[in-house]
Amino acid sequence: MDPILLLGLVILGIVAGILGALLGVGGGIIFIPVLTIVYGLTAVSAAALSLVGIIAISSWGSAIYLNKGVPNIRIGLMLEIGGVAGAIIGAMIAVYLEDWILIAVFSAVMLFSAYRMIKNGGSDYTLENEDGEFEYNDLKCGESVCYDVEHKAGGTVGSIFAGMISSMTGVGGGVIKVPIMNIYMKMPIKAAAATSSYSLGITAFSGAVVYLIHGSIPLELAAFLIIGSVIGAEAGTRISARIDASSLKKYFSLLLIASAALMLLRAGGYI
Amino acid sequence: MNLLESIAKTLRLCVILSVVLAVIGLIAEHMGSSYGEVLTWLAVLILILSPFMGAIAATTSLAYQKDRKWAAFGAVLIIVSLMGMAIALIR
Repeated sequence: MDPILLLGLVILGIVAGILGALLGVGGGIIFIPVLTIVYGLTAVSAAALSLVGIIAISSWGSAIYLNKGVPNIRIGLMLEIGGVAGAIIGAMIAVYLEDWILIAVFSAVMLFSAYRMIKNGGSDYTLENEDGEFEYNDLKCGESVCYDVEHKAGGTVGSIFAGMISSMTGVGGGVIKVPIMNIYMKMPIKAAAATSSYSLGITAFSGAVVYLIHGSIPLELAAFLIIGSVIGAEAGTRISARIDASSLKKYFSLLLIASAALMLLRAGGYI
Repeated sequence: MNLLESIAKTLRLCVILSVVLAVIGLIAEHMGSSYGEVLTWLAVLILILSPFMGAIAATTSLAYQKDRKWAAFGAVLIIVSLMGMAIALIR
């Protein structure tokens, strides 16, 4: 492959890593449109490569956030039982599906992501007393926050769907997991987002390993993407500590809508 | 054994190892070595396995803290993951 295109993958990884940290996304909604439209990869190869990039961003970024004590590892492990099962099913189904079906599903995920970014916010379900089953350190106010988690079994079942979407489309699944944790399971939004960032990697792993065994991951491209993604994740966590990205989300959501439209047009053969 | 610290260290180690192998593999491929592709494949495999290794570290740490309920969830996750890998290999 052209060295310029290979260098482009490093830059893609850096951009995805930075935006992922700023916007709270895994990177898949950035990887997939570029890999399919610019690099001309099939939906399956793009999904497989995207999962590799997501794992790189999630693993390196999580290593930094874990030390701040916000992710709920216990809930993450429980939910990922469903996530992993769903990802394995999704990866096995994806190789038999037509490209346009996968692209249509991915476009729907992008549009939903855009809607959630425009809507913004998220609910805080914190307890006034200190009797919650879980707690985390709120870095902004410097206090320990207690909370309980509801509907644990239902949340795990919902994670199966998130896992399937993740491996079929190459996204991390956070756009589905965060609402499940925040709205359905009543976790505070900061804990839900941090837990989702940590568990993205586990969901992506189970889909990616199936793709690797089936030979669907272009290795040379993956290597360049890994290098860029790790650099981006490191840079992103440093930048996100310094700036408020809430206005950036609204502009990024417009980009997501445009990308979804482009991908649908491409899937339909119009471009 | 601190839960969060053990997971963070495991993830960092796997990612660093993966990046080092990726760089060496790409250089070896560029120089025409037949080991280049093997090293690159290994780099991708180690990176893909890093969250799984993190889950093992988490489960081990929870078991060490005698937090049996959540260690059991971790163990189930590891078993489901291994079953998935086995199914993928058989197919």
